[in-house]
Amino acid sequence: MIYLIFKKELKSFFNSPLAYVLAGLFSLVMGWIFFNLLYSFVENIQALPKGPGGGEIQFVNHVVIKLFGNLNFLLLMICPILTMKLVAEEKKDQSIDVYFSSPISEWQLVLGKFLAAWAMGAFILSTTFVFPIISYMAGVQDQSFSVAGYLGLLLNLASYLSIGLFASTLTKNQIIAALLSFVIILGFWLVSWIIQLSTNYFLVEILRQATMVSHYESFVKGMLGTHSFVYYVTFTGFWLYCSKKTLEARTW
Amino acid sequence: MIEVKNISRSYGSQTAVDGLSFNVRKGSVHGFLGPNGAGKTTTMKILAAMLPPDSGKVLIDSIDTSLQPLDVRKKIGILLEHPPLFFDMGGREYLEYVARLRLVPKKKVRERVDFVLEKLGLQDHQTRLLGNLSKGYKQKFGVAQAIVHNPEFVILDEPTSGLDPQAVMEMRSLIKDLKNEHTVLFSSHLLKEADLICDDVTIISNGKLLASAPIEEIQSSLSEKTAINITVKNWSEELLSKIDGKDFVQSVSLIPGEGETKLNILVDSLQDNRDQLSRFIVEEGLGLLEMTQERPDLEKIFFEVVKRNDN
Repeated sequence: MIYLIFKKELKSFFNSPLAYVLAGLFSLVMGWIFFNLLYSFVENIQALPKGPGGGEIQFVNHVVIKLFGNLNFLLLMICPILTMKLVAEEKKDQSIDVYFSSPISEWQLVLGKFLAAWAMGAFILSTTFVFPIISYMAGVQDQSFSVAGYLGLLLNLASYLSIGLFASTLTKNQIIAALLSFVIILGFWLVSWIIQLSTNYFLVEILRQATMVSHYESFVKGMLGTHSFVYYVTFTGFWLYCSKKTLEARTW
Repeated sequence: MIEVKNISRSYGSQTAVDGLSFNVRKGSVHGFLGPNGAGKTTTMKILAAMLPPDSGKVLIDSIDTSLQPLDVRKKIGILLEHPPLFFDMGGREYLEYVARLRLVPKKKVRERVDFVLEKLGLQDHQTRLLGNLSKGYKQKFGVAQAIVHNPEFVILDEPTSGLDPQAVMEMRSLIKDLKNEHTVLFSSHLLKEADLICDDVTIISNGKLLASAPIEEIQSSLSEKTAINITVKNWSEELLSKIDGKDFVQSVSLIPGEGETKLNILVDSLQDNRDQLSRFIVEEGLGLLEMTQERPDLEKIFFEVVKRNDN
């Protein structure tokens, strides 16, 4: 049943011009950013300090990490748009009653929709796979940072989309759903910036672990920790659970 | 069989359904009547296991909708006031999707969808996007999704609302036709419509039950008077007092015509008095030409019931 809903939602994404506009804009902006990062790297390559890893480490520090930082920022913009109509639109035109009158659970509905949005997000991200390919062809043999970065990006995408899905279950208005998810995701970003101002170690550490930003940074720097995986699974699971509860709230 | 046992449901401080109890016989078309805001849609959602009651219970073939909602949904197809259509899907694609959601085996989906498309006359619209269809066709696809999994019970909430007269006629004949394969519970605030289609009716107002029984029973039990129209060949004035004197007759009026006389006799509707009247006419040698009994229409009964309830 989850696969059935997943398939329908994915088809709906690809039937909509929005998906192609998003993917086009995303790859255009990221292409421009990648070009600028490369250009600036090549311009300054002589001036950069020589490290033990040689040019590849410099490339990772000055291109790959910055590239993934920008990719993550763009996800903040894209995820609310991807998820805004998932439930809100069906609530508005009451087509969601098809699910509520069928023998399927709220979990199946939530997971089917979430996985479809995740697959769609991954498709949009895939337009940037050309960057590691270009850098590989340019002589950067070690692509482990890119692999770790994309893994982190996929997990970050899942967490953003779960928030977006939750926001979409709260309202019938797609714009409100998009704004709400943007605000919630941005809230987590702001927390991760604000805690840097604090001198309370425990508070800083707790809040740092609670936001996805620090976990994502670990991935981008190539540090794949089990706790980060657990964090993402728990974080995404929490928002999916909230979505399920919101859908159930109609029966309260 | 659907058994509704003392269900109540509130939204915040507003009570939508208040201690409602009635049964829906298998194989019948059951009209669920009441003015706008009477609690019809809420009750129907409870029956379809889309909403649990705050108290009381609903049994669908002895399965409790609150305890086993997913099992109940397999047995029920529902069309609420707005057909739940995905506007970016084609008609056939939509029905196949809904059939799979409602657990129709993959091999049988095509066959079942073909059957439903043919039954509702939707073959020519199966490839069109649902968002581009007229209201009448959207409504038909709404009915199609309610029966695509061949449920035992079909619940239709105001299925003719907003349709043009031609579409209304088609929808009515479709509902009658559904009776052959399903038990149909259908709501309307148009009482004439229920009068035309239903076997049984349940009347509610302000979430409370006013009456629930076969239409004829309601008509005879709730209306105090029934009019019997008799046309006779021979008439003499002295017979008037004889008829009027019968204990079940409430009043008699005469319409003299050429070579015949029409009598409009109001009788107590709790019993059928046609037999006694016809015997009287034959005994008196009046020459019976015609005798008809006027059934009070549902509309009159409904207002009478609501008035009694208010009192």
